[in-house]
Amino acid sequence: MGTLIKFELRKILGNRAGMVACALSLAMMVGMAVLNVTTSAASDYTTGEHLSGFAAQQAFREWKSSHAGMLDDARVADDVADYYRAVELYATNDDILSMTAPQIIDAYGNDFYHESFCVYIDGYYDRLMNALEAAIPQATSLEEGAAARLEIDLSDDAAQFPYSPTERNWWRSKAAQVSWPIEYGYADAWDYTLDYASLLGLAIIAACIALSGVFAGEYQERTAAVVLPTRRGKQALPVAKVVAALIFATAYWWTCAAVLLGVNVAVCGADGWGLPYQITNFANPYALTMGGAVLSVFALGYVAALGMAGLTLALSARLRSTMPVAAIPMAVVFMGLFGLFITPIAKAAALTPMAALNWSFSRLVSYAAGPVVADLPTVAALLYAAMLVVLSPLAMRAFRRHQVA
Amino acid sequence: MELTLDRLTKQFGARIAVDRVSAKLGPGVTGLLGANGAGKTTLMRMVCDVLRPTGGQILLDGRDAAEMGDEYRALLGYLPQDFGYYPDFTALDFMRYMATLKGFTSRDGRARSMELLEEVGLADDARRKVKTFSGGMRQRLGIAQAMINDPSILVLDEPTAGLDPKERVRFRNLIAGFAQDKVVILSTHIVSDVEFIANRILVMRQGSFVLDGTPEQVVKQAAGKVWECHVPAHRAEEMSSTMQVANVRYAPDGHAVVRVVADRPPMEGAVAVEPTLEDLYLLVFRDGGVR
Repeated sequence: MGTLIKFELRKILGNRAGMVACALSLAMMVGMAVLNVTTSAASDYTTGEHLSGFAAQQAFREWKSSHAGMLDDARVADDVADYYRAVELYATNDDILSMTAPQIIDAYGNDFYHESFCVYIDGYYDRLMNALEAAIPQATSLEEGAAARLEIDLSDDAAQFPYSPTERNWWRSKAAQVSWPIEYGYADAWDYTLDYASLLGLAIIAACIALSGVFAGEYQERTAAVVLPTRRGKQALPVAKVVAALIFATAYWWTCAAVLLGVNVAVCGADGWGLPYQITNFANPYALTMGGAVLSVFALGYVAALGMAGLTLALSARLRSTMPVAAIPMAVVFMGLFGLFITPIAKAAALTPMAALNWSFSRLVSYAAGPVVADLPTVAALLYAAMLVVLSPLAMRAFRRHQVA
Repeated sequence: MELTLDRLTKQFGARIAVDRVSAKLGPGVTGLLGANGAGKTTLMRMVCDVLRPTGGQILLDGRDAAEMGDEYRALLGYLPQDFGYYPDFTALDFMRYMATLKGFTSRDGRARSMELLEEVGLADDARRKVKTFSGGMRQRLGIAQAMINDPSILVLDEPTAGLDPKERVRFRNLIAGFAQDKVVILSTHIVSDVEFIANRILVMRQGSFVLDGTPEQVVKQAAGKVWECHVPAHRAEEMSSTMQVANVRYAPDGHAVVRVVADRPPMEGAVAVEPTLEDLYLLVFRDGGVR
């Protein structure tokens, strides 16, 4: 069986269109991840000088590290005071609205610059106030503010999807598992990786293109008539084909994931692996660390890649040409992204690979069947696992029963 | 070993490609002759278990081939009419792959592959990619893969397509030597492929066997129906358009000797001659196969 699997892997690697798609997809992922960093812009904390690219990333590290620590009530109170001080400074010196950072330093000095401009443009304060101001009256603890923000997100006015009472309770109980107070800090490598995880949908498309010929290629090149009437042609061969396809999908997908992660870690450093996922959004209900969130998204993406490989194999075994086999998974992935903007189908569209990678753990998407509620990552993982388990044997069966006519 | 075709039928929609054909095939070369569209390839595909019959069955020594499954396919060697290959594989890779599919271990498969490539004259090209091969080389590779497992049933569908005359002779000798204790079915519409090596000829027309016997028995069917006519050269062309002309040979005296297949003497002075298998073929398939 090992030799047969090696030969089948060689055939997959010999699919030129598939290999070009894989190389392009990998290059696009690296390009987007690098572009994200090289187009960053920030102001130097000391001089106010405009920074871009890697220097800006270093500035982000300093700014975010300056907030590192446990966000307990006392710390939150201090930060809120800093925020209101900045608002007051802007209100009493409205000329600074049109000034650049170095001009503010020249006119008012460094302390003023730190207390006004630096607070005003710091995303940390935005997120903090967004949570605290969700409660009426304004919350004094982050836990209380996050709970209030979650209620707003679940309300009919704000939510893209209507939630049933069961779903709302389900999300509340999920959020209750987050342990407060949380620790804040710098974790940009993991944050960017999560932001760009949906790009791994491109890896899934490329893998599907590479696998489109696994069975259909045998029909198209008329080799089915040669390989099927052999001792192992109808039993071991289809198994070897599916195993080789899954080995390829696994190797390619994790290579892409490792490259995406590697670029971000190389540029941003590996800090913040153990920080809570809530540092990206205080109202996020998932009790995960940043590292845990990255691993969970990667695991979901991997299951999606295998499920889509199963779909591709089933199509490949049924259709006689590789072109539609490659086109259908591609259409599923891209149409799913468009579907997110059409409310009646958005929940279904969210289950498509790229959309699922984009929304899982960051959006409150749930599916209810009576008293049973499951979130997007769970339903997507089950769906793709089922696709793999059901469609791969169907592909093997279709190949075994293929009629050379 | 006996391969039995028992009322084997294949229907594609309303069209019957193979119509309840029955035959018992023993060791030796069975030549399956027929025009394009006669149903030979469909029959071969059913024998090789890549096309399910609409009716009837194939039995090997009394056992249903469909039920034997892998066991039956392990005994098969098949060269399809339209031989597909993997363009990026070398000839050796392709043979090793086929050896693996036919149950060889990696080491044995390599040795057997080299042996067969040697036999079909491709040993020097073993490491060349198949896509760089000529049509004849690919066909020889196809023959080699069919024989790699020393099959008990060898099915060759139009095996000499693309082979030059020298390669055809080599192929015929290879098959004649191989077929001693094997069932070899050789489907072709080229009479010379089977004329000298077949022990038995089956002539297929419109999905049915219309003639069955040794080459001598089959050829006898054309006895008294093959004529030679000596005519002025300018008449030869005219005869070709109105009669079933097997051959035209020009004599030094300016006359043409026209070989005609016909039930009756085609003209005064026509002389009956000994028929050949080719004459029989023309007799059976004259007028597009309608007798």
